[in-house]
Amino acid sequence: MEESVGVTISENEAAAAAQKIGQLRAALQQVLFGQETLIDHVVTGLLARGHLLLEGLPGLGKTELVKGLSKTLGLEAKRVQFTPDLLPGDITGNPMLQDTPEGRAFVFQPGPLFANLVLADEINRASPKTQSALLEAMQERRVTVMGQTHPLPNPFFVLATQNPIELEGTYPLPEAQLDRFLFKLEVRSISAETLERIVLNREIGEEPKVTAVLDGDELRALLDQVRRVFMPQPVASFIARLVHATQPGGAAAEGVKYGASPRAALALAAAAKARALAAGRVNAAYEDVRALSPAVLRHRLLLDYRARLEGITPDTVVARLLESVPAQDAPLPDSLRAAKI
Amino acid sequence: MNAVADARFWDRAVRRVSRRIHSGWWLDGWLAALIPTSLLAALVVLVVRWRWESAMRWMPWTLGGLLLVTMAVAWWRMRRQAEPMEATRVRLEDALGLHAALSAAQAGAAPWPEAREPLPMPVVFRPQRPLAMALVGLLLVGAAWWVPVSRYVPPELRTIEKPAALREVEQWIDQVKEEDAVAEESAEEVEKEMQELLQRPATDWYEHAALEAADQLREMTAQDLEQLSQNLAAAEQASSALAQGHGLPNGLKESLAQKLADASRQLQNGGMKPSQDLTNALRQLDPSSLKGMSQQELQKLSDQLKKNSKALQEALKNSPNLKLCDCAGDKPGKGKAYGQGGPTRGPGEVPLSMEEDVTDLGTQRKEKLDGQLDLQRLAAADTVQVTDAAPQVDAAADHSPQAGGALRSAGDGGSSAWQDELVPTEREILKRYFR
Repeated sequence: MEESVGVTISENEAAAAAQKIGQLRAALQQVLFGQETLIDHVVTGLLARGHLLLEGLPGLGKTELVKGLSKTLGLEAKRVQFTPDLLPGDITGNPMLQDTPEGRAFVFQPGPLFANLVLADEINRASPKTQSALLEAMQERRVTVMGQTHPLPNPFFVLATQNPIELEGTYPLPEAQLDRFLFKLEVRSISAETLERIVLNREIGEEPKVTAVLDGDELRALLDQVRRVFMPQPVASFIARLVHATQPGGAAAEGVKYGASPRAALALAAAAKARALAAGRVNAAYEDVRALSPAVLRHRLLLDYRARLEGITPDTVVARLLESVPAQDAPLPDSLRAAKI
Repeated sequence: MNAVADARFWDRAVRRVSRRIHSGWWLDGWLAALIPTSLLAALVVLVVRWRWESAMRWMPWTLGGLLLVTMAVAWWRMRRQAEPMEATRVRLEDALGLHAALSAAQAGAAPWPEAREPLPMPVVFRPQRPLAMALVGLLLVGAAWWVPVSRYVPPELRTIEKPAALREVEQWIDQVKEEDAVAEESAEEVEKEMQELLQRPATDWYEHAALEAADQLREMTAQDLEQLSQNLAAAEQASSALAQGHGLPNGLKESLAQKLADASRQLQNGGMKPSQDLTNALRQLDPSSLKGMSQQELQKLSDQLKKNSKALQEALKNSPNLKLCDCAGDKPGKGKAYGQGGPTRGPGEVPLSMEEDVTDLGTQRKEKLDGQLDLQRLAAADTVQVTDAAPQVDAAADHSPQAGGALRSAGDGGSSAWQDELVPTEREILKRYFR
C-alpha cells in the first residue's frame, strides 16, 4: 500500500522534544512521588490534546498533580469542585447585566472553564445537566451561552477526577461523555518507600516548589510536533484491528456489551504519536499502542452484566485483546513459532 | 555503515525471514499431504509386491518420484498463500523491538535502523511435528515393504460346459449330419432348439428348468432317432421282402406293401426325417401301386433304405443308449442274426434274452425289461416294461370237456410253461438257475 508520508518530524526535532518532555516529567515527579507511570500517561495525554479522567481514592495526589502540571507548563489552571447543586452556568459562565459606555447590557462573565487547565474535581457528583455542559467544551473547545459562542483558551485541557468508592449521591458519567476523555487513568496506591519519601519531603499545607519547564508557546510547538509524528501503515492497521476486536462477538471480546468507537481509534493513534515523541522517535510503534491501550480503551468498553458478576474488568478484556491481536495478522505456519528474542 | 548499506541489510534480513516463513508454509503443506501419500505409497508397495514382484526394483524410484511430486504440489500451494514482504517486515520489526522503524524507513519517514549482527530470527522451526509425521510416513511405507505378502495366483478360467444332455444331442446331430443320415432340415430344427437353450446365460444352463428342457430335448431327439431307425428297418424289411418275393401269395404281398406304405408315411412324417434323397424317393412312392412295383425299383428302394439305416447306425455307433434297429436284411435269412419266422426268417437260433434286446419273433407281443433296471439287483416290486399287445390266443385249441388229469394242451415239452406263462421276474429266476 502506498503511504502518504506528508510532513514528518525530523530526528533532531524529535530528540529536542523528547528532552523537553523529559524535563516536564522530571518536574512532575518532584510533585508526585512514586507515580511515574501516571505522570507519563498524563504528559502523553496532554501532548495528544486529550482530556483526562483520573480515578482514585482521596489523598493520592490527583489535585496536586494538576496544580503541578499547571505550574510546570506555565498555564492558567482553574479548579471546579463538582457538587449536585452545581449548575451549568457555574462552570461555563453567565451573562451579567452591567453598565457599559453604551448603556446597560449583558456582558458575558467567563466561568472557570475559561482556563488552559481545568480540574473538574469529583465530576461524578454533578448533575447530568452540568456534566453535559462540559461536552461542547471538551469536544469543540468552545462554550455557547445565550446563543453566543465563546472560544476557550488554547490549549485547553480538562482533567477530571472521580472517587470510585463513594458512589452514593453520584451520577455516573454517560458513555458519550466518557468517550470524550482521551484517557481514564487509575491513580493507584503508593508503596511504603514512596510514602516514606513523602513524609520526609512534605509538610501538610505546604505546596511543593515547582518551576515552569515550558511556556505556552513551547507547549503549542510540542503539540504541533506530535501531529507530525509519522504513523506507519502497519501500526495504523494494528490500531484498527485492535479497536475492531473490541466489538462483541469476537473471542477476545467476550463479556463486552458495547465496544470502542472510531473515536477510540483516533485517540489511540494520537496518544501513540505523543508517546513516540516523548520517546524521541519520529514514528509511532506497536509498543506505543500496546502501552496506551488500557488507558484509552478501559472507559470505552461497556461490559455485560455476566462479565461484571464474574469480576471481569475492562483491563482484563484489553489485556486479552492485546494477546490475541498481533502486530500483523498473517498467521504463522504450524511448523514455525515466534522466537523469544 | 551508511544508510544504503543499512537499507540493504534490512532488506536481506526481511527476505531471510520471508524465506523461512515460506519454508514453514511449504513444510505445512507437504506434511498435510505426507500421511495420505504414505498410505497411498504403502498401498502401491503392497499391491506391487503381491502382483508384480519383479517391478519392486523400480519402487524406490517410484516412491522418490511420488515424494518429489508432493513436494512440488506443496510448493505450488505455498506460492498461493505467500506472505507479503510488508507483513514479514512487520513481523521482524515487532519481534526485534524496532518500534516500527523498518516500516517507517520503508515509507521514507525515518532512517533505516543500524544493522545488527548477528541478527536473531524472529521465527524458529518446531521440529517435533515434522519429525513425527515423517516417521509415521516412513513406518507406513516400511511396514508395507517388509510385511509378508503372498504371491498373486491368477485365477483359473472357469468354462461352463454345456449340459450333458445337450452335449449328447449335439454329438448325435453332428454325427448324423456328417453321415448324411437325416434330412438337413430335421437336424437344423434340433440345432435351433438347442441354440435356444444355449442362448441363455451360461450360468443359467444348470438351472432346474434348463436341465429339464435339455433332458426333454435329448429324450425327444432320441425317440425321433429311434423311431427313424425303426421305420427305416421296417421299410427296408418290407421292400426287401417284396423285391425277393415273386412267389408270395397276394395276401402277404399286400401285407408287405401296406407295411412299406406305413413305414414310408412314418418316415416322411416323423420328427427326424431320413436323408434328403431317401425322403424324395419315398415321396414319389404311390402307396396304391407298391404291389405293382418292379423288382428293380423295390431293390433300389431297399438299398437306399439300407444305406440310410447303415449311415444312421454308423453315425450313432458311439451312442449305445439309443435303441436303434438294425436293417432286417442283415439278420434273418441273410446273416448270422436270428430270424423272425415266416418267409423272411433266417437260419439263426432265437436266443433267450432277458436283456434289453427285444426278442421280436414277429408276434404282436413284445416284451423287454426296463433298461433303467439293474438286472442283477431286481427286486420283487420293480417294474418291468410290458408292451401292450394282444395276447396270442390259440384259436384252434381244443375247448371241449376233458377228462380229469388230462392236459388241455400237450404243448412242446413244457416250453410253453416258461415261454408263455412266466412273468419276467420268474424268467430271471430261471435264467439264474440255468446259468
